[in-house]
Amino acid sequence: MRQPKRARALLAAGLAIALAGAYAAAASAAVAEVEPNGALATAQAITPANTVITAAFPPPGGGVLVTGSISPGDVDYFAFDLAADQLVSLAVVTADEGALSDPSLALFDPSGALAATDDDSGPGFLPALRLRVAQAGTWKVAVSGFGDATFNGSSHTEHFDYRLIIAASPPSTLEANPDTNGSFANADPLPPGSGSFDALVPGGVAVVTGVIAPGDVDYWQVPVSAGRTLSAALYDDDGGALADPVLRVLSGSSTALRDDDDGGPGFLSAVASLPAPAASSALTLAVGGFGDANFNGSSHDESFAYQLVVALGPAAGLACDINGDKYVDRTDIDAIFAARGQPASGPGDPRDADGDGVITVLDARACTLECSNPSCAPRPVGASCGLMGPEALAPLLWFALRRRQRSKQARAASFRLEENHR
Amino acid sequence: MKALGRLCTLALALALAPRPAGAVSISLSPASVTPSGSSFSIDLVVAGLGAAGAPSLGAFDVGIAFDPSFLSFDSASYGSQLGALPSDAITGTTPGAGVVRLAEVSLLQPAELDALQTTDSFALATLTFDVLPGPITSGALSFASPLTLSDGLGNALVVESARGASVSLSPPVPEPSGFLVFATGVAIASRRARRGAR
Repeated sequence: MRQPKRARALLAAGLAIALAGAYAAAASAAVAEVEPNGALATAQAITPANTVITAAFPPPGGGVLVTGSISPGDVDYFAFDLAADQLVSLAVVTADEGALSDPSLALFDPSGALAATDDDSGPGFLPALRLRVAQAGTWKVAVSGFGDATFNGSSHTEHFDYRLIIAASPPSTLEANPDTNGSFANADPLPPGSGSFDALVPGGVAVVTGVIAPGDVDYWQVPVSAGRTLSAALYDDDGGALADPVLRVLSGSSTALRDDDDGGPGFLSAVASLPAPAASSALTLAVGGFGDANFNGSSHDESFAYQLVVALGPAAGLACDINGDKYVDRTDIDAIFAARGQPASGPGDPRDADGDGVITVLDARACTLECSNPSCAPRPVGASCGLMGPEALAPLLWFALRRRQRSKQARAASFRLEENHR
Repeated sequence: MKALGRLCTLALALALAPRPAGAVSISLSPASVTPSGSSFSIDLVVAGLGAAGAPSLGAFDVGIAFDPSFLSFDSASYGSQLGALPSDAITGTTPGAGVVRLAEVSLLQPAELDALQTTDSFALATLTFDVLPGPITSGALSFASPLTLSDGLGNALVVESARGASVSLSPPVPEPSGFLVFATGVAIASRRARRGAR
């Protein structure tokens, strides 16, 4: 049966709207890992076919945030398209800022050959790398744990939740030239425009290209609500071999929250999973040159072009560390176990290890893998002071010495009394 | 007649088909209880795990429903397959009106659990119920929400079946097996078909 022209046109329009809606929905949030993705052949596609990452997540974006989880023996592969001569930057951040978790990172070219790998170039034990790609096509990135040199997951025992930041340039948001963002009060908005970070940057990552000249400093204001974490990294074309930037994160009241000099690859700067203070609505990033301790541009002669990559994550805090003592033990597991069945307080609730919005026995079990001691035994009291046990007898020694002294005094007094009698 | 034969073959094949490998099931054992006194005990059993290997059971949270006018929950004691108590596992028993919730999480590492759970089936806990005096003489124990089983890594295990138990104060009247009933039905249908053909 032949359909009338109008009906076919309506059908086509409906289909187009539905497809556009589906794509918009897919691009409206950070990408969550989907298993199985444990090999090059089964890499999870991040971008639509034949669409480079900067077209899939255009400025003021320029990248995408991928959330995932690594367990012992696990490795995660992701695929995305790049154009020839694009600069791609990759970083893995964790809630503990790389203090305990030790991820590793590898980039494979379109032929499947290993192009770059990194272990600890980011803050703490976190990896980060930057590469200008010569070849257009589908590139793949692997996230694994320290020790897995072949990226097949076979030889590591790491267990952590992570956020993989993939950013590319060009195109990206460009700093005005000449710039007017040389002070906290005149900070440029990043991303440009008004609204929440998530609304302005559907991929969850914003990239801006800027220039620092001697005596220059650039301020960027990022909308960050309380309970969110900010990760920011500076990159340049030569991987920090020559340029030496510095990075400062300031609160809404211009208080310096974090300074970094060389937390990224080479001399580059990076900050991972910095929590926004309570009641905050924005954080400001200051980019300067080495030597500019006050971030007013007065005392540095650095000159370089940079890409600033900014991503927001959920609330900070060591996952599973319910009492906030930076140590996961039975006390924390007890608290999660007791709360099973309750809804999570938000995306950063440390009791909701699997992030499904409900606290269950699955979260309690997952958190036992984060315990530092066998059977989640508590941290030994005084272990951090180096006490071994005999020190506990010190008060007894003091009492013994005092008693001996009193005894001596009594004997001396008695002796003096006897002498007087004689 | 041929079609009926094919149907019988298909039904038999489906009945005898093996369960998919790795399917986890949970049940109450024995499936039928006849208390001799005023109380009885029943085991909560898991099956379909890996024997001395993954998947091992790392945690569970299970609800068991009962008729509160017939039964009263008394106590639960947990097994040691998730670790020695209280050092290596945390347990929680939450009695409610007509439902009791049993939960346990192991504090052992996955490799330790694999080594501990050497069989693919074992008792998680033993529950004790009191039978209440009254006109009701039978009832059932069935599984209720939540029904969550975790492997050693904190991943949910898919529960393929959850079989409860029946409780009766007098011994149950023996019933013909399902196959006998089915065969009788087939024989009657066959006889009627032949008569119809004549």
